[in-house]
Amino acid sequence: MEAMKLDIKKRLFMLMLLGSLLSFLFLGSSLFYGLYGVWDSFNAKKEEVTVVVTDYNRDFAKEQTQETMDRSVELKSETVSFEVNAIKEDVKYLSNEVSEILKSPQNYELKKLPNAADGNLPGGIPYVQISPELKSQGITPELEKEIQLVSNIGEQMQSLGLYYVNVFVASKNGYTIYYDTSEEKGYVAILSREEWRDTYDARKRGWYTDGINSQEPVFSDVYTSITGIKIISCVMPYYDQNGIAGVLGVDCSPKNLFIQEEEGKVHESFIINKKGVILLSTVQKSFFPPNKVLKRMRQRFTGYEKVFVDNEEYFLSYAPIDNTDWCMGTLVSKEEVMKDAVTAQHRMVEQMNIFYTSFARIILLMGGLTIVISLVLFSLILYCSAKIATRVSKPVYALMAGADEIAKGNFQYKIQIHTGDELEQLAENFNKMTDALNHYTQEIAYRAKEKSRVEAELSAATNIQISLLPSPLPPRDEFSLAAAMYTAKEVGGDFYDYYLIDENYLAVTIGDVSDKGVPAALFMAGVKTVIKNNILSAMKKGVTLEAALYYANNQIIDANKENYFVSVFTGILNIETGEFTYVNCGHNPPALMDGETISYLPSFKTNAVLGVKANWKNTENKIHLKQNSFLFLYTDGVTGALNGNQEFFAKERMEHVLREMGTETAPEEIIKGMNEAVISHIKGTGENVEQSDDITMLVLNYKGCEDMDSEKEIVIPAKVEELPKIVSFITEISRATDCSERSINQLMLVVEEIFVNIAEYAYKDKEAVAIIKGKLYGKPPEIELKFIDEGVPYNPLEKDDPDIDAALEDREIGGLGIYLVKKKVDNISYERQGKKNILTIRKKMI
Amino acid sequence: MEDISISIEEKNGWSVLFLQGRLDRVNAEDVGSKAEETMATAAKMAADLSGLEYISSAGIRVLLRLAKKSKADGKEFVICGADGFVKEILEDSNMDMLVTMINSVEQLP
Repeated sequence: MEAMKLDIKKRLFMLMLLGSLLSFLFLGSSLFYGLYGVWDSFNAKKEEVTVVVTDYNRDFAKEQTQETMDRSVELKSETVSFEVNAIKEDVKYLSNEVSEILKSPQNYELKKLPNAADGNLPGGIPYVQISPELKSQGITPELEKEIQLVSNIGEQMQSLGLYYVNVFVASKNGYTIYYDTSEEKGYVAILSREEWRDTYDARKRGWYTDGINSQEPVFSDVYTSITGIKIISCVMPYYDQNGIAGVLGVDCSPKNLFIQEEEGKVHESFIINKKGVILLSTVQKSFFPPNKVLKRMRQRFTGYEKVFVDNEEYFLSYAPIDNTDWCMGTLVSKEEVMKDAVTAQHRMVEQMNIFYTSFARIILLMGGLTIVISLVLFSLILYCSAKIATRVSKPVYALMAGADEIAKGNFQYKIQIHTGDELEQLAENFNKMTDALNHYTQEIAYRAKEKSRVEAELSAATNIQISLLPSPLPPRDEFSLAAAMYTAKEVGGDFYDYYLIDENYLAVTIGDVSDKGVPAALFMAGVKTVIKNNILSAMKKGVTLEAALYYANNQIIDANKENYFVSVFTGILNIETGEFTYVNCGHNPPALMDGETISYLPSFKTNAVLGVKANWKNTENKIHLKQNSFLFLYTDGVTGALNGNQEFFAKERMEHVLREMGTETAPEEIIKGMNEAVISHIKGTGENVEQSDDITMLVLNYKGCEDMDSEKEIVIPAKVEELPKIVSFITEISRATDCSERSINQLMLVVEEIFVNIAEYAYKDKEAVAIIKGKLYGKPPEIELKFIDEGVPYNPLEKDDPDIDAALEDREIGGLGIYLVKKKVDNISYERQGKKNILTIRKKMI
Repeated sequence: MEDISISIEEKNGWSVLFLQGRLDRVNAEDVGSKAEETMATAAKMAADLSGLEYISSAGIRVLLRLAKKSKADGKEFVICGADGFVKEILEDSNMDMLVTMINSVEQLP
């Protein structure tokens, strides 16, 4: 327990903690990442938004300003135009009135107005002023009358009101009727003032010349009047019967032409005339439009430009003034224009900052909240993990404590767990186990006593088994033989036996009793003796091998109290002829190795193991062992050997080993080699696997006699007509024997029937051949014939025998041939090899 | 017909078919047709096999056909003198149960 690095509780705890933390970290980090992302992108956008809004504000302000200025300049120019028009109308009206007076003097009374020569006249009253030139010429009565007549205009002059500074009518004759509109107290009418009353001659003024040269009312440039104030005059001529009688006009303050400035809006305006001279201007600074703009203004365009005044940026909007050849311009400084935009921008930034601050606060709050929640959750996870780990591990500790108790040998200990899950199940199983252990320890104590007795018994059995094996035979030229039994730990029931019955007959036996242990070994010993006795006595009496086995079986059953059974293969070799007669009673068919070919000795299916069924007939077979062929007899221990992977050694491996060693290897070596192969198969998987069954083998190598005949062969067309040739062939073979006429006739019948059968049926009218191979063996001579054809597959032995007991009328004509053949041969067998039908018969030639 | 000779003689109202040599698959058809010719005209028929050394199933078939025909025609048919190998094969084929067999042609009634 001390060796444990982390106990189960801590592991569980760590596992749960780790799982929770991982998912928690995953959720938390994504939340934090999200928050950070929002914060980051907000920071980035903040500047951007401010710039965009500011730009937009500026542009918007500029646009707004242009629109406003365009409207303003238009409005102003319209206003000025209206004013100008009104002034012109006034002047026209005055001109009409005066002309009317001069043209129709009979309609007017004479009127005497104060004379400037009287000195220091007050304002608000029209008066007459005489030019120095006229004064020196002297005023004629006609002129005096004309002056008094024209003085009627004084009323209309007054009616024009206070709008103008002065109203005047200047005659070409050198007198002037003048009206100062100012009614201020102490005001002295201009021309009555000392400096002008005797010196002023209207005809010498600029405006007079302007007036003479125009038929319509015309404006002068702005000029400084004799009183020193800026004024602009509008003048036109008036007429009598003879044409132009003089020039009359009004002076007005340039300010009157401009509408009052709107409150708060600082639009500075100016008017230029056709000549490009600034007539009026509210611009404080020394400003003059650039030439390019001036040109356009003089060409009466409407427009909007950016200009510089004292290195300050201004926007200039301009438009022509109707009814005049003037142009109006309005200036506004960029600073002014941008004032709103800047204000808006400041407000925007301020709002943004407020939003930013509150947003930051929210983000911080959320972050803080997340941390707090995380900490709470983390503590919760810690608590729960510890709790659950304790709960789950508690029964495990109980189990551990229980296991410790049991390890100490306390099988009475009972583990108490009631979790209702697999652990409770485990605890129950544990308790069952201790019960079982308790039971087994008692049992083992009992068994230990038994063991020593059994071991002694087993070694006795092994001794019996080994002592029963035969001693080696004296060597012979015709055959060599070897046998071995490799016993497993447990005593098996295998046995083998061999003995010479006489000089010419060798008996071999191999067998396997169904059980192991001493009684089985004793039973085996009995079986071996019984079989040997029966074979020996059968040979003496001239009885068949199968009869010997029949009796042996019955004797074994009589002695079989334990209900064993035994598989036995036993055979007798005619050393001279190679004939091998055998009976297989339920044993593994021995392998026959002839050159490279390995086959297994055929047996009858009805044959059965010995010791089971009384009066049971096991049938014998006969084969001829060829020269230098090997018989390999073996028990289950060979093919049934299991390795750690539960793989059998099996026939395939056995055949492989036999082929590897070949027919040149001595029987002893074959047995050794096979045993090594089997053992290496068993141990091959590297695990500690023990041989579980006896390995028992017997190898017989038949070398044959020197005088054995070789084979004869005839190849002949498969036609009935060829029969005589076959008769000759058979006669030739059988000539070597001194057998009876009857045997020869029987053989002839056999050959004829089989050959006719091939000729008539095998090839179905096709031309083909049949092969017959013939061979004689030993003494008494025996002939073996093989009939080979390549016709349709046909096994004549499968054909039913004809019903020879039928009444004459029912008796079938055919089918007799093969029936007779079977009666006349000692052995007949059929096999199909590839395309070949091979029918083999053997017959003793006596 | 190298290996067999056939002769027919009348004896006490019996037509006697005398076969000598080997009766096998090669000559069985000729022997059969000859025998059946004789049977057609005969009132009673006997086959004397005392001179026959060898017979195969083809020969048994010839005798079996004659026996069937005689039974169908209501004629008497007797096999005489079968011996040795020939007798063995006739017995193996159970012919002795179907046809009257006598030891010698002399024993014919």
